[in-house]
Amino acid sequence: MTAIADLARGAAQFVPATPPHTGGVDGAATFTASDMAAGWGAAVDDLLRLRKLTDDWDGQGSSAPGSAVVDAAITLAQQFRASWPLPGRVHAGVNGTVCFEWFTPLGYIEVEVTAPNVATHRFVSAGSKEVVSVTLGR
Amino acid sequence: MKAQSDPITPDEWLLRIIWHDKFVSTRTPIISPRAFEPRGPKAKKPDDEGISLFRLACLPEPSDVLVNIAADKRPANGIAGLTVADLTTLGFTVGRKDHEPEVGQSAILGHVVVPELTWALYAANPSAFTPRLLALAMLASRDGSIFVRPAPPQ
Repeated sequence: MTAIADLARGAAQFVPATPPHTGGVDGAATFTASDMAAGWGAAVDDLLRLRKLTDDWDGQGSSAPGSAVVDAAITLAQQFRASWPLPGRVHAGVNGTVCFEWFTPLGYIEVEVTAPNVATHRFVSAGSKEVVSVTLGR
Repeated sequence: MKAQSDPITPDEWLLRIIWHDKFVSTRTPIISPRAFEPRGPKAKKPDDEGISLFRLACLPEPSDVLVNIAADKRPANGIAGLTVADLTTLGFTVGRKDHEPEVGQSAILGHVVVPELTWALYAANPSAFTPRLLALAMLASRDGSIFVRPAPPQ
């Protein structure tokens, strides 16, 4: 088991076994298992594209995520796809991180991979100004 | 048009340049909270004095804020707006910081920064900023807040 797979296993503690938003993310309809698999495939494709980014990828001077960070995000995505809903967005942060985002009726969830074996999970419940955050990994 | 020296008023629109993958028209909200993350020391121009926005009232056209972005990347950047009042409601302030162009670049009028959103403050506790970045994203995603939609690269 790799460190990042341990991260994914740890991340699963922070979401219900049943996706919390089925039928609700971004207003989408209920997903079938095959929809979810296909959607996660597209998310992994997005992550593979992030591996090709170089510094100043946005023309505003942002730093690119290292390949090890992107690989860790891909490993997480492969773990997530078994039970997590499709992310609303997967993208590079402006400081070399990789972010997954979910907007659900219950609130906003993000997982930010900041290093090959470190990710931060954050949750802001709907209407709240408070965040619950947990750093996964070391 | 206003001069840069004119006072910044609560009703003014401030424009933010946003990369296309944080600006997805088919998502709700359209704008990602991460569109307001300060850039750190590895970036070409770290946000040491706060994230950058531009006063619409000082610009001939909203798209003028994209002028210094490389031509091949320019269409992939969109522009969304927040009012000064939006920011102050969330506890942010806005300060004039005239744009200092690099060699060969053009000065962009109306540059301001949000001093509560510097890299140093953000890096000290990124999670603490999440609710307010989320609030900024929701406001920037409203009808009427979108000034230029990006065209993702093919």
